[in-house]
Amino acid sequence: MSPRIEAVNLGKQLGGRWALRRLDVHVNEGEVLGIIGANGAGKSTLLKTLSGLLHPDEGSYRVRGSLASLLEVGTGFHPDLSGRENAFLRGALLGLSRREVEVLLPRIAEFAGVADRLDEPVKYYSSGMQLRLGFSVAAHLPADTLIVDEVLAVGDAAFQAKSLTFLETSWRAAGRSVVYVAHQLNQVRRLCDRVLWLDHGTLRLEGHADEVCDAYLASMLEAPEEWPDAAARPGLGGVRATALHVDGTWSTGSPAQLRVEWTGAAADTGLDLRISLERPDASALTLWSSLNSGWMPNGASCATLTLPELALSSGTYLMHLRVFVDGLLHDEVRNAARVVVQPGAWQGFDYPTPRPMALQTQRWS
Amino acid sequence: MNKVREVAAHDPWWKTNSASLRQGRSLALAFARRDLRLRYTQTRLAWLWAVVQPVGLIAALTVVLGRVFGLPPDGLRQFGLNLAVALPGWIWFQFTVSQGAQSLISNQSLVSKAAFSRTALANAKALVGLVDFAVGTAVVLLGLLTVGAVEAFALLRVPLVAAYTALAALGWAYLIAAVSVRRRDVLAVLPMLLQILFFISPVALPSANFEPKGWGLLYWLNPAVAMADGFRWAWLGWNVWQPAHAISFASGGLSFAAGILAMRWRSRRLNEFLG
Repeated sequence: MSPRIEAVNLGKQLGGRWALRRLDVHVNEGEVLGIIGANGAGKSTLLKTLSGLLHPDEGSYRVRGSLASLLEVGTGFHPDLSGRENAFLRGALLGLSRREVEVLLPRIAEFAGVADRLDEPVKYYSSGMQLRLGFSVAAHLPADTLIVDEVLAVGDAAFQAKSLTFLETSWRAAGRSVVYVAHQLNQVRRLCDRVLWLDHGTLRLEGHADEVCDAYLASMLEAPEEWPDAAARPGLGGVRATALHVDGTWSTGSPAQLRVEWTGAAADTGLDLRISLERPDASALTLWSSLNSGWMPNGASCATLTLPELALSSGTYLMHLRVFVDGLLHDEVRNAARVVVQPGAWQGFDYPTPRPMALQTQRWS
Repeated sequence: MNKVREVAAHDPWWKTNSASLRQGRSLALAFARRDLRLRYTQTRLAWLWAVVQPVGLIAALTVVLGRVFGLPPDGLRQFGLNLAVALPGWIWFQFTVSQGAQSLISNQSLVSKAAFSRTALANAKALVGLVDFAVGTAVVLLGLLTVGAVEAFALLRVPLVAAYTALAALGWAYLIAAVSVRRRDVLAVLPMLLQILFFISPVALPSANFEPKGWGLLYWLNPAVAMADGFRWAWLGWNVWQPAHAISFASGGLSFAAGILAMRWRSRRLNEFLG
């Protein structure tokens, strides 16, 4: 099976700078390829080049079958024309005759939720309705490959969910391909089979969606930021954390240690150091609490947490540190530390997970 | 379904990889429909304006210029016929060139976001102008039937000259549109140029008896000379032809070829200039 899109050594110079360089891209049939990267990484340049809007300065590409390219679908409607007329025009831009669009129109309008207002000028639509109509026209066209840029970043949550489901069921299931650029990584994770991470016009990483998204997020936090000034942090401030050290290398299934230091008078009872462990996208995985373990400070200003068997899969994790005294928050540091867990066996077995996960002691019967 | 689009950095500029002919055609129709719809959405008299414009111009020019030249009634009739048969064609030519020349710049947001045949925008303007031309032609036909001056084969000949008009006008539109992307100045001077062209083209008066030499050659290079005289031949059966008309026809045909090439050449880096 030959790929729908195949680009070799693609390069494009814009304004004397290489916006895209030495890029190899392929999109298979029925595959949803995600493209992520910071602003200016070359995502739009890549989409524009593959769509035929820009001519490459290096390399070549090949597109098999029809390609519908919708950059900024929600914009570009003519305000004085009706929704129907705009849909015809949009269809014509993508190579469809009036009659072909006519057949699709009931489904398009129904999906966008504008069925009863199709003959009104688009200027009387809400901006959300315009965006929905734009996406709906694009998504219903009979193309082999759809190129979409930031489409789902807009519109209400219900429509976003509906659109994602639609792309998953109607597009992927029908063997059509999608090239999808988005900043919303949770959508990329859900929709995309494979993800390219572009950085300064070149490929930084390519692979499974979760793996690439996590690496991308982790890179944005790569330089461990200085903790914010104690005075600027939330909490009463009677006790302030001063450091959170990760000791040695952590790997799955092996013992692991970390150390917390603090200043300030704490009653022997009631001090609770809480560390919640998060993925790079800030979703929490598990919580460690000193109070719940029954530990007492006894006048000390540092404590060590030992995990006899690290129950985390390989990947990058962030620590969110909070200090409570008698149930009141005294200090809080987000991203207080970052740890990269190396692969290892968990209770004798490998758990190759595409993204960071908490593992459990388990018993099946 | 099985079509493959292959693009390489070193492809020569004249190799086109854009949309098929079928797409270009349906797109031009869609753009033309949009323009026509927009044009008549907030007007009261709508289609009547297409009649009023040529009739008003013919009447005004005949009366004013007839006075200026002090023409006798017979001469006035001749003059009026001369003008009436050439004017709808000229209006179409002028409209297509001026609107088509702006088509890339004024549809910038569309051009920079969707890949489609770039000539479709100017073609749509020619189609919009064709509607006015058809109305003008109907008016001329009625007028000529009333005065009994219409040539027997007119309805076969007029489409031929009309096709030439479209070809020449589109050639100019493509050329100027392609240049205007980098040099917008041309759009600023275009209305004036077309105005001058109107007065030096034989629209109101029959073609002059210039030798195609020196400045005279410049006169014959104007494709509108062949067009205006062509309509006289088509409608009235006048034998207006001189050998030099071949230059004018060739100029119209060559501008079309040059326009197509200019659009291809410009398409390659169009979005880098438009942003």
